[in-house]
This record gives sequence, structure tokens and C-alpha cells, in this order.
Amino acid sequence: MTDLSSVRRELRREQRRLNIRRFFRNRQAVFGSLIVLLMLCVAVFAPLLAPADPLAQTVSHRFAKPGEGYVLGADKLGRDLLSRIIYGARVSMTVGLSVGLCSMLLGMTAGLYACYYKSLDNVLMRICDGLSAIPSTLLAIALMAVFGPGIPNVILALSIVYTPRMARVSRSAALVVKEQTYIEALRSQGASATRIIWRHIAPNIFSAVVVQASYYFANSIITEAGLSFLGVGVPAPQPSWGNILAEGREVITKAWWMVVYPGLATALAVMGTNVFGDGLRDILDPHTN
Amino acid sequence: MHKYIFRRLLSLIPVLFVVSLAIFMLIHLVPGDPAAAMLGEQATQEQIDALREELGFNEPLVMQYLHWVGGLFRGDWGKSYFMDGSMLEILGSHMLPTLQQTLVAVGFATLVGVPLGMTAAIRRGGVSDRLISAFSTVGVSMPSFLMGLGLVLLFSVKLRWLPSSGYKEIADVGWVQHFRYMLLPGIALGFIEMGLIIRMTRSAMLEILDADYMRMAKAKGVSRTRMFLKHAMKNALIGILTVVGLSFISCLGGAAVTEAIFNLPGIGKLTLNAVMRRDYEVVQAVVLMVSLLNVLCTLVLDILYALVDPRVRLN
Amino acid sequence: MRRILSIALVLTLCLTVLTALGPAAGAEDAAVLNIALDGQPEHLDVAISTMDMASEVVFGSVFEKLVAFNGDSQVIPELAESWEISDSNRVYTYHLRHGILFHNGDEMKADDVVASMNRWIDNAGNANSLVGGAHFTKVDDYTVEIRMETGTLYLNEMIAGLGQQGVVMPASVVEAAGNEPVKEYIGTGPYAFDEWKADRYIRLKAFDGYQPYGTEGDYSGWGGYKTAWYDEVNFYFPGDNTTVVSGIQTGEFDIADRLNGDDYDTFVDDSDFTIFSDEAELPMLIFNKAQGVAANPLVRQAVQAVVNCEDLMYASYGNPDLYKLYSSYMFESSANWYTDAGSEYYNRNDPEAARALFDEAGWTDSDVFRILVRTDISDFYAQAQVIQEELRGIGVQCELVAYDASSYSDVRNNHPESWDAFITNFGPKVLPNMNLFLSSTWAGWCTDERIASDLSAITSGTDLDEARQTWEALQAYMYEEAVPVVKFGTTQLSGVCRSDITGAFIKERLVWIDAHPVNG
Repeated sequence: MTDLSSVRRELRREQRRLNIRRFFRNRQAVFGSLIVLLMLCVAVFAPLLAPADPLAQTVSHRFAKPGEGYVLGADKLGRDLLSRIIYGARVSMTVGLSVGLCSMLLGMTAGLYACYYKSLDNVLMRICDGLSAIPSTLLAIALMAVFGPGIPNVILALSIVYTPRMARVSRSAALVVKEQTYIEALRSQGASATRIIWRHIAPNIFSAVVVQASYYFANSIITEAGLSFLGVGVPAPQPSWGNILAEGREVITKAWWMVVYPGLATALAVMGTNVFGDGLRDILDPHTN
Repeated sequence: MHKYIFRRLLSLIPVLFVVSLAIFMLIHLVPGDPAAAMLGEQATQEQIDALREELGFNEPLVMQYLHWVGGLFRGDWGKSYFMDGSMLEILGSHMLPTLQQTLVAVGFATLVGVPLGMTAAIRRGGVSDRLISAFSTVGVSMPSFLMGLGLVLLFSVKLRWLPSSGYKEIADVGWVQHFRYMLLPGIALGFIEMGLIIRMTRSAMLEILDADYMRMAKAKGVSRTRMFLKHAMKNALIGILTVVGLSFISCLGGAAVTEAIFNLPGIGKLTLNAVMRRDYEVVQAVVLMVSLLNVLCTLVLDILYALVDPRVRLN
Repeated sequence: MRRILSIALVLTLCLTVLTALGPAAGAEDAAVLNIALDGQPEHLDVAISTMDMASEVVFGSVFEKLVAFNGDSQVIPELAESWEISDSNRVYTYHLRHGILFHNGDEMKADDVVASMNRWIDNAGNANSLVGGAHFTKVDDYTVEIRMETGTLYLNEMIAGLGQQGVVMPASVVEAAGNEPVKEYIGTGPYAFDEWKADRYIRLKAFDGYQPYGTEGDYSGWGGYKTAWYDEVNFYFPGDNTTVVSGIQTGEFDIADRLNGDDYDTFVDDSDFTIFSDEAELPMLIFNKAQGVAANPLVRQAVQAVVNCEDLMYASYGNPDLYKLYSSYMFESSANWYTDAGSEYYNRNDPEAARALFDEAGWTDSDVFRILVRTDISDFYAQAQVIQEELRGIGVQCELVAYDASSYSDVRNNHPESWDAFITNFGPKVLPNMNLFLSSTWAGWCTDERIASDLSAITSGTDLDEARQTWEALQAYMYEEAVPVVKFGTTQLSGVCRSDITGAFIKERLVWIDAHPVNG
């Protein structure tokens, strides 16, 4: 048994090495992860990068043009747009990462247990089917109305939206693994359910789950911005790309910078995470392409 | 086959039950109710309470749910607290702009996406393939509201070619005017789908171009154009149709945001308004209806698959 | 590559064709008036709703009242041809005009007036407290009266006033509705309600059976001789100001009721358009006087001391032409009640004084001042953010508690423990006591004894001069000590119309009914 597990460990290490090599050979993955890394850095070091306090107002400089003391212009209350966009990255990244992680953990757990216990499977999957039948934007809007605006609530709502979808993905991946003979063998040896689920099935579906989570990361950046744009997401004065865009929509004829710059930031972040996800899929899950 | 369809139809029942329960609980959990919206900001609480009582909101929730579901079985979708007419009329009149917008979106996505995807597949590895792939990546990364705002900025504010928002009925202004109003929202909504369709078309075409019978045809000297159009296209069609079908569904669900930008009186706007003023039965009916359309579309696609590939039925 | 180019070419061609066709020109029918509204009303029953939006559609056009205001804020007859007030001001008797037809063809009689007016009294808090719960009764088919316990000078002003309105509808409609909004919109005005296509438009049509009152051409303010100048009036809800601006410019709309400060410049020097404006609203911060940190008057005084009203107004309305800065709680245009008492406490913008007041109130760093805001009204939201920032400037923690409109009402009315102040605005009022922010039962709960007793003295008093002095002293007291609210300013909300249209609305913003072609 010790021999076998050391072999397995060796195999895993080898796999990891292979993945890393594949990663650096995959231009998409490198490019995407660079953008994601950049966004994360901007989010983490926002206080150092921002030229001004994102909340400080000079009302008389309302909608100041880009240039005059405001690199990217000023907003309705005379706040520095660049600083708000930089701090906005924090919101997007926090929401994206948290939703990705939450839906990954919860969805994977649900999927794994559903695949293992038949009775649970029926109930859980019907709930998941039902929840995923509701279009995600509509469900998110309704959930936000219940929870009220705010970052933690956006994370909660989006996790509720994506968890059932994740559960379905991990369940179908897990079902394939479960059918394999060695799981059957472990079971007949009397290994505990928890052990089989977490030690033997989970690692094998992990790559599929991570790839999926990376897409939810991108999607939740979009959805957060969309919700804030509709006025049910992150409320001002907390800067979020979505609520800056919503303010910009009102003055699109006068202050184009209020739409263009946060728009570019959002597009870049979403594209980065998407490309990153594509790259990740190519590396971890080469068959699906 | 009949058995398969029947089984699939049966499986819709629990899904719809979960949807109805989930949305009912959600919307009734939200604080506030239509009474406040009806009476306006400066109403007193006594006035609101009196109206609440009259509207029947003080009934236990279980009873309210049973009333609603009972009504559904009798074909009664409920009523709006704010709008006249039956629920189906309300849904119908709001579904129209959404459908029109979705048609433009899916039309745009297909007309642009399929040729581009095919070109990319044919010129695999070439410059145009790489350009198109990059374009499709931009496409799938462009949230509809960004695309919408960008289009408004360019075509309405800067160039003044197209109206920035609003809805005109065909009966009032004719097809051309109507289409002018639908064009920008349609493109905004369809842009992501276009990216997806390019990708799917490309990979479906590649798969077929690599297939043995295509190599055979090539060896036999069948002309290039004929080969692509007749053999490759035909076989790739089902994959492409699936994406088009799926993009139709996601456009229906995602229209809330573009409708807000372009002020279209569609389903998304109806839902958003109804959630905001707690028009309970409208929210319930819309969500149930859209979810129903969603699962039905998926079902139709699945059945099409099963017809083509009998192995599916066994699963 | 060639294929991409050809696709691009085809797309461009399509676009060009579409754009070349342009908006349909010359389709303008002279007998149709198109109005762009700022939003869609929830319903049009102005007797039970406190919303302005509905009034803008039906005021004087679909629905009429017993009496109305003319341009000099004097009460003139409308559905009543005359009235008598008893010496004690306790009994008002109204003689109705004969032969007035409802849009359904029935004649308006005393029963309809009694049913409508009593439902209004039951649903409008101001009216109810003015008449002390008394009700209208029928004397004969064309006479109604109301007998009150204590007399009042102002019942006619209350009926004629804006806000929640005592409009006359058929008794059958009123009785069917109860406390709910009426299902059918049937009135006596020159326009009849025709169609409401949800989220698209509201359409009114000229009513053939309308009987004008007074002498032709004599219309001013909110009443007088009315004519249905147009066969059809449409109200649209364009939703955003870009559409409103372009719609007015292309002739799609004839009148737009609310002009954003940022778009004001577009029209101000353009002779094709007329800008009309009127004192519209008082935006203010209303404190929670019942509980929490703002129950302490020192905290309220401190907040009043720190605000910079100029910034507050500029931040939300964007153009100094769109607001006035003065301290009076009553409008400058209100005939009797405008006063600058207490103005030394208005717009102080004095951080040190504010900080000192906060210290005096025993404010600590862990205390938080919470402003309740609704996310759907961007003006209020901007103002809340400005106040938050000003408080942050003097080291006072301020939090915005944001909700959508319906949750907001719920939290405001039923959870006073979770907020300390909120922002809203009020339209012009006829009497000081009609200002809800001074009411002890409405959100904010102004329970100050002096305010309550002075207000009731004003309402029940019989001498106008005396009442005016009481109000002046009361306003000074409110600015100096009680501070139930912080007034930001008075908006001059503006609309724009094509310059070939004119009418009394150029002066009084809300009333489009008199809009007519310039040479009409």
C-alpha cells in the first residue's frame, strides 16, 4: 500500500510538472493569467496606485474632462475617475474570486455527494435543475431584491446562482469516475464513503471543476457589473465598474469618459479571465476542446 | 422514441415545481409590498396597512402559494396589481419586443458567426483564422451592456445614425423604422452569442474536415466549394443549430440588461419593474414562463439529438 | 480574408441604407400632442396616491375638482359654480354646476361628489386632519355640504391644492374601488382616458361632451376655461435623458417635463425650443426624531451646520439655473407663507461649528450616522453621498443604507431603529401644516410640542396676519433649535417644449392642459 501511494504521489508530481510545462507553452493561458494577475495586483495595491482618494469630492469639478488634474476625468460629484476605476477592480476581483470559490466548494460538495448517494441525488439534482432553469440574470435580480444591495450580498446571490450549475458539472464528472473499477474495489474493501468521495473521486474531477470555476469567475464579474448597472448590485459611493457605468449612461452625451474607461476595464478583466479559463481548460482538460 | 419523449416531458414536472416554489418564496421574502408602491412615497403606514389588508397580503403564505398554483392548473396565470388585462396579455405584449430583439440578436450572431467560423476552419492556422479567433474571444468577453453602451456612443451620440433607445411598433412606423430601433439592442445582445457561434462553427467544421470521409472525398477529387458546402456544412449543421438554439435561450434570459439600456418594454424590463414594485404575480408568471421556454427549448434540442443519435436515448 | 471583407461590406451597406432612411419626416399630425414623462406612474388615481407623476397626466385634463387655483393662487370655481362658508368657518356649502357629464355619459350629481370627496378625506391625511374627520353630505342633487367641529379658513385651498387630490369620479367607480386605486379612470375633464399600454404610453382622447367653464381664453394657473386643443394626447416614458433630448430635437416629443441640468444648456439658447420652469420641490434631509442618534437635537443641529447646500444642489441638479438657495420651508411663490426666518442657520457650511456641536452631543468615534437611501432616485443618492463625505471630513462616521424603492418604504416606516435620516422632497403646499415632514405620524416623527401646537393654531386661526407671524417664529425656532429637517434648497425644475407650442404651463410646470399651438 505504501509503495502504491508513493507511486501515485510520484505520478501526481509528474503530472504537475507536465501541466506547468504545458502552461508555459500555451500562449492563451500565459496571456490570460498575466491579465488576471495584473487585475489582482491593481486590486490589492489600489491604495498605492490610485492618484487620489476615490471618495474625495470636489463638487465644483463635476464632470471635469480628462487631463485637468484628473487623468481620466471626474464623475458627477467631482471624484477622480481613475482612482474609482482602480478601486473598482477590488470589487470585481473580490466578487469574482469569492463567487468562483464558493460555487466551486459548494457545487463540488453537492455534486460529489449526489453522485454517491442515489436518494440524495434525486432531490439535489431536481433542485439544481429547477434553479438552473431560471435565467441567471433574472434569478440574480430577484435574489438581490431579497438581500438588498451590497458586496457580500452580491457574492451570496451569485453563489446561489452558480452553485447548482457547478453541482451538475461536478456530478456528471464524478459519475464517470465512480463507474471505474478501482472505486468499486475500494468500496468492497470497506473504505468509508467520506474517504472514497474526498480522497479518490474529488481529485479526479478537480480539473473539470477548476475550469468551470474560472468561467464563473468571468461570468460573475460580468453579472456584478450588470447588477450594479441596473442599480441592484454594489451601491455607491463604493466604486464598482457597474455603478460607474450606470452613472455614465445618464451623461453619455456629455461625459464619454464615464462610459469608455470603466467599460474598457470591465472588458479587459472579463477577456483576461475568459482567456485564462480557455488556457486552463486546454491544459487540464484537453479532451473537451 | 415516444417513450423517451414522454419520459423527458415527465421530468419537467419537478423542475417546474422547484421553479415555482423558489420564485414564490423569493419574491415573498423581499421586504415591502405593492401597497407602498401604489400609494407613493408620502403615504402613511396606516394607509399602506389598510390597502395591504384589502389586497389580501395578510393571508398565510402557504395559502397564497396554493391559490396561485391552483390558479395555474385552471389556466389562470394571476393578475398584475398595476397593469390592466390578463396575465397572458401582459406577458404577450411584453414578450413581443423581447422576441423581436432576440430575433435580431440571433440573426446577427448567426449571419456573422457562421461564415466567420467556417472561414476560420477552412483557413485553419492562417492569419484570418487567428484574427477571427481573437475576434471571437473579444466577442465572448463583451457583456451586453458594454456593447450596448459602446454602440450608443458610436452610432447614436457620435454619428447620430441610429436612435439611442426606445421602441416603435411595426404597426405604427413600418418595418424599416422598427428595425432601426431594434438594430443596436439586437447587436448588443447578440454579440456574445456571435463569439460562441464562431467558436462552435469553427470546431464543428474542423472535426468534420478531419473526418475520414472528407479525406476520401478530397482524394476522389470533389471540388473544394462543393465539398465544404455539401458535405462539411451539412454535417456540421446540427452542432451549429444547437448553439443557435442555446443562444436563443440565453438571449431571452439576458435581455433584462439591454432592455434597460435601450428602454425596450420587454420581458426583462417587465421583470425588473415587477420585482422593484413587488408585483408578485407578474414576477412569478414571467419567471415561470421564461423557465418553461428554457426547459422546452432544451428538450426540443435533446429530442433532435436523440433522433439523430439513438445512443442518447439509452442514457 | 476576402470573405470577411465582403461580409463587412454587406453589413456596412445595410447600415447605410437604414440610416439614410432616417426618421419618418412630416408624419406630424397637428392634432396630436406628445409628451415625454420622467417615469411611468403606478396608476392614475390621484385621490389616493401621493405621487406627482400621475398628477402630471390627469390634473385638470381627465379629472376635475370642486374648485381650482388661478394663476394668482386665488380659488376659482370649477365643478362647483358657487359656495358659501358659514360665519364660524364650520360649514361649507357647494352648489354644483348643472349638466356636467362624466366620460361615461352620466351626469355628475351630488352623490358622485359626496362619494369622491369622502374617499379623499379618508385617504389623504392632510385633508382628514384639516376637516377633523368630518364628511360631505348631500343636500340635494346639485348641492353638497360639509359640517366640521372646528372651523377652518383653508378648505377651498386644500381642495384646489396640488398633491393628493379631491377629484370627482362617478360614485359607482369610487365605491367599487374602496381603498384600492380605481379600476376605471372616468372624470369630467376635456380629455378622456383612452388607453394605457404598460411600459409604452398612456393615451388620452378629447371628450366631446365637455362643458367649459367661464369665458373663452380665460385660463391661468391651474384652472379656468379649458379647451381640448388636441384630438389625442400621448404620454411616453422614454426612461433616459439622451432619448428625451433627441426625441424633442427630432419632433418625436412636443413637451418634455423634466430637464436634466446637464441637458439644460442644449436648449437654453435655441429659439426652436422654449424652456419653462417653476418652483418644484424642496429636497431635504429628514431626521429620525423618534430614536437613534438623531433623536438628540444637538446632532441634528450639527448636521445642519456642516452641510454645504450649494454643493448639494449643484451635485444633483448640475446647473445653478435649476435651483434656488433660500431657507424658507414654504415656497417663494406661496402667497402668504414665504419667510427668511432662521436663514442664518441655513447653508452654513461650517465644519468647526458642526464638530463642536457633535462634541457637545457626546459623539464618539464608534457612533454612526446612518442615512437611508433609495437606489432608484439618483438625485437623492448623490445628495446622500455629498453629506456622507462632508461628515467624513469632520471625522463623523456616516453610512448609507441603500434599498430599492419598496424595501425602502418598508424599512422607513416599520424599522425606525435602522436609520437616522433619509432624503426626500416635497412639492408646494398651501399651508405650513400640510408639510408632511412636520407631521408626528409620518416617517421622521416630528413630535416637538411647540411645532404641533403652533401648527394647529395656524390651521384653526381666523386671522391670517397672526397666523403668518406664528409661522415665522416657528420657522426660526425650527432652524435654531428643533431642526426636524435640513432643507437643501428649492428646485426650479424645468421642462422644454417646441417653441410653436405655448400655454399656461410655461409658467406653471405641471399643467399641460392649456398647451396649444402658438397661433391657435
